[in-house]
Amino acid sequence: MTTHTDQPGGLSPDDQRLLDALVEGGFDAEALEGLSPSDQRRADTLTGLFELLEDYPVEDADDTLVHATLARIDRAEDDRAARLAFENAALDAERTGRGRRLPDFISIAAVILIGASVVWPVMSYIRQRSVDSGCNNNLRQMAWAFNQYSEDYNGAMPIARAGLFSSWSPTNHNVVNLKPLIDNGYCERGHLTCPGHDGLPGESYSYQWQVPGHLPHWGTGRVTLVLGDRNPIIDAVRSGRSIPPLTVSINHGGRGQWVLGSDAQTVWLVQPVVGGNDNIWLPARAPILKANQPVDDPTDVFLAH
Amino acid sequence: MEERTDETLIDDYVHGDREVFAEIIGRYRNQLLHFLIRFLGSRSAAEDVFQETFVQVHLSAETFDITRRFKPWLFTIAANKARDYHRKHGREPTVSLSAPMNREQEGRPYVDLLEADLPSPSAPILDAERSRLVKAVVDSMPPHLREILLLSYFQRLSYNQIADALHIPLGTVKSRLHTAVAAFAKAWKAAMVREGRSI
Repeated sequence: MTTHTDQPGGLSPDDQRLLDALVEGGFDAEALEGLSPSDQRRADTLTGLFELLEDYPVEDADDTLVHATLARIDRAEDDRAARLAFENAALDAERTGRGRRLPDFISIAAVILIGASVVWPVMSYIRQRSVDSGCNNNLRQMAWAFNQYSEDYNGAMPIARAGLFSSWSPTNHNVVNLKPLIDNGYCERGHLTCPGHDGLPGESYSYQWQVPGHLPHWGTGRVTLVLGDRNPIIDAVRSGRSIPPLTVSINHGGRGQWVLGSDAQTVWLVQPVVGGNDNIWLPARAPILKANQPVDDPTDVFLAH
Repeated sequence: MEERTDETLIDDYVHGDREVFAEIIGRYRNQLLHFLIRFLGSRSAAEDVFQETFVQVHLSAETFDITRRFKPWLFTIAANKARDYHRKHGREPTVSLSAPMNREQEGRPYVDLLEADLPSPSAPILDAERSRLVKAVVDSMPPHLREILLLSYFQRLSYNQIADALHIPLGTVKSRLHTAVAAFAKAWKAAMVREGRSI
């Protein structure tokens, strides 16, 4: 298996050195003293690249925007004043005992109940959509990160080494192999967790790249699944619970889950069993399966830890 | 009469001089709006976040430490608001952003700008076309790379100031900017190649 875990991505060391000097010098290339001819050319190239950004089309702010901003601040101030007045009135009422009558409480409770019964399903649906969309966005972001990383490393992917019930703690599962991508700016740590994650320790995604007999290369060859929510069975058993082996990720309410393939495409799966090409799987003879009821095809149970 | 500093204006505002807020907005109206347009890729989104930013400045003015500089604080707020906007609106980055720098570059773990054979910034190309390509390239970058590129260049923030603004370690700031510049260089070259521009 090809292993590239901690080499720097991005710019060459010489370019990094010149870029650091430019940033700390406020992008004043002339202030950099004693540059060799090649360093001077690097500084000029870097400056030229940044100057391209100035060609991004922008328009100046007009007075309307300033007036609209001031009006919005006035509204925010009015809202704050109204809120304070309401809170003060409530405090006064509480201190004096005025304004607290049983019919008032009943009316308020009824309004809240009716409102909640209408709003709750809508909010629940909106939240589900938001979680689904956020999770898909994270995986697309990671597709971009893998794309960049593999370009910088001749098509290779980060090492994917995992072991069930190894010495790793639950907070240190196989997605830790993607730390070099975070450290080198390809992605952010938050991209490794589904927005619907239930708060169990560690990132929610599982990363594996295990195709026996094949060197791992991004975007070429056999399509294999590389990233998605980790198998809930692992966390369940570790916390002493037993759940059916075919349970899908609970981050999407058990409706399914997004996964990312090595072709940079994301797919929504409604069950954790996929075809013979998946490679994020729970090994067939893992003790975890013996502790539960058998599945149709143990080699296809999706998303190991 | 000597012009009051940004920090003095904020201090005066907190102590009741409400008129100065328009001056604060006026000083940064173009700089901030340009940053947000480049970050968000749309003027209407930028105007919305622009307003939210100054509302937040108004609400948090009392907590501002006037011994520190106002500008990094303002852009910290703006960047946070812009990131919230990205999250809320589920903006998706383009996956296929770049191409290898050249055949000789393949197999190397980094981009060397001297060997990258980048198109010259002064290459013959119409201004409008260059603007369109720059916008396409910048818009296709992931927000966290776009953000650091803009903060470092246009706001001239130091690495420490960016680390403060984004709440990330100094080392991450450096590596992220290195990655952002490499990604921008590769994407710019790929865009020029796609457009059939000579390199």
